[in-house]
Amino acid sequence: MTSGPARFALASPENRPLLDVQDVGIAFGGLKAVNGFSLQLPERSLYGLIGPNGAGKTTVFNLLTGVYRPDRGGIRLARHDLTGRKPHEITLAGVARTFQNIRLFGEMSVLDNVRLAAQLRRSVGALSTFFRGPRFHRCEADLRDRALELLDVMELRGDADAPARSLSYGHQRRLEIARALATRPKVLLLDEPAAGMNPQEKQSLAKLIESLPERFELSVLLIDHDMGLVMKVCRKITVLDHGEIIAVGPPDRIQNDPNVIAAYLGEPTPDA
Amino acid sequence: MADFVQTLETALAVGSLYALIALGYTMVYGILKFINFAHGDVVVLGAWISYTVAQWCLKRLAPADGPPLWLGPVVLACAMTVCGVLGFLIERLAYKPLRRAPRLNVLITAIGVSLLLQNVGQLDAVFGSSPVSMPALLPNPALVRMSFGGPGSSEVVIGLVDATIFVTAGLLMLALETIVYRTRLGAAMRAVSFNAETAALMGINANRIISFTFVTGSVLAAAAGFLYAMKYPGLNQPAHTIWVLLGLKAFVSAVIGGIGNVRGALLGGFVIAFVEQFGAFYISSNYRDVYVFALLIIILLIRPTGILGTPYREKV
Repeated sequence: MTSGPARFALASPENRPLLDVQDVGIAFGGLKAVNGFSLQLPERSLYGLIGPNGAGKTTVFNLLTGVYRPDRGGIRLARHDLTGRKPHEITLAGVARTFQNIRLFGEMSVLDNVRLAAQLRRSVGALSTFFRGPRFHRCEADLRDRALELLDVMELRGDADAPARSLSYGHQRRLEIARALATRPKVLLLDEPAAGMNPQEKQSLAKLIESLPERFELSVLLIDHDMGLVMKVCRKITVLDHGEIIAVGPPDRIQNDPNVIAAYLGEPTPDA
Repeated sequence: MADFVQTLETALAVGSLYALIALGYTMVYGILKFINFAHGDVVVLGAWISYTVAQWCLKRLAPADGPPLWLGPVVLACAMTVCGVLGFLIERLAYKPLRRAPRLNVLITAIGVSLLLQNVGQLDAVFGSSPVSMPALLPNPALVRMSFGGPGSSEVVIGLVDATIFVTAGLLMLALETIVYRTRLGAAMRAVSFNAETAALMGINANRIISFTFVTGSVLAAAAGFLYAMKYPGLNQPAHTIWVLLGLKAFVSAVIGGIGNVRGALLGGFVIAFVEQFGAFYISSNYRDVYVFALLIIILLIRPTGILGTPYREKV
């Protein structure tokens, strides 16, 4: 935010992607869940990751966030090597995610869910926690403001004090995004954010996702089954099938790629 | 009437001790979902370390007019520190390597750690295998005398030792309650107990939180051991059944209150102490353990998740 465009360019040249995944693979027993996955995510981009059920999309997210350790390959975020790092270290480095099956802290309030994630970058010594000096209070107020701001963006402010589990499905998905944003990520991984939403909700979600890169200075990697959403929002898409990349390109190319169509609809019958 | 109030007073003091110990069981269960059976032995260690430190200091100082007042807090602090370190080491060495193992393995390990602590404690080089008598670090004058009825009727006496137990236990419980429900560290603890994996993806270092939980639980256990030794100065050898029963009753308190729930452990501790003390006084003191475990069975039958536990609904 403080750096001008010139300094920005200097710190991260155009030819160097923000997130650089090289030839990552993991096998569970004999099953190669993800095999030779590579991805270059530029700064402030909107990128899609699609594929039929069981193609390995969520496994890719688990690899990127340190839930699984890749058997081979490397993951870099700007200058940090994230390969084999622990989940909390990766979050600290700047990768945040949401979950396909919502995983909020259900008993905590909506505000606390976000605040918990926001506190990541604000360490307070044990002493000031107990004595609660002015610095502690300023910091607490700061965190609260930041959390409320994010709830505003997600249009959840009215529910700030409600327990997270009481929210509707669509709102819970938005809260997950707010919580992920609270960790101040450079890369945001969204795992089926539109699942279970009605068309209207999907539309406003699409608008929201499109606004994220500029507003929060980050890149989005999006998994969703709603092709309309992915095609509309993303500038570039990678298609996975059986753990392997079968196509990479802009939406219009992907839509007409015979390999992609075959993967989704099955092989065409050889009647010609 | 006097008997009733006196029993009430004893129940409150004993309940504070059970609650302090139960907190350790419940916190570990809340976060790692297993019963740390070695927790009761940390209490024993707290009591014996208190004894050792007190003895050593008294020998050095040889005060003419009883132990100085500052000795009590110093002994307590020593016991808490040593047990805190021990709790950290137990988790690191015994439980952490099993983080991904089935829960039953960890449970068996906990029983192993418990036996280890009991029997190492009985070595001659450590605490020895004969009972000792804890020196009185506090004078025990009557703070309150209540008499019910006319002259000549029995009196209720609340001594300084019992008052110390209430105050110390109360302050520690308040501190824990504040940490868990009002601080960021507490929020991180609750997040880890809800789902450690998700918490890690919020940037929470789950291992650090787990270590903190063990240290806190052990520190509270040490305090309970110290206070227990103040109230019952005859200390039995570390592997004595009476210690096993103490740990077991505290565990039952945690279960009855709803294991995993901090407030439930407090409530459970007092409920167990009341049932035990009143049963012992009004029915028969031979069956004091029976009342406790009978109550456990009843609670498990009618409300298996404990008084404050969230009822578990099975989804079909």
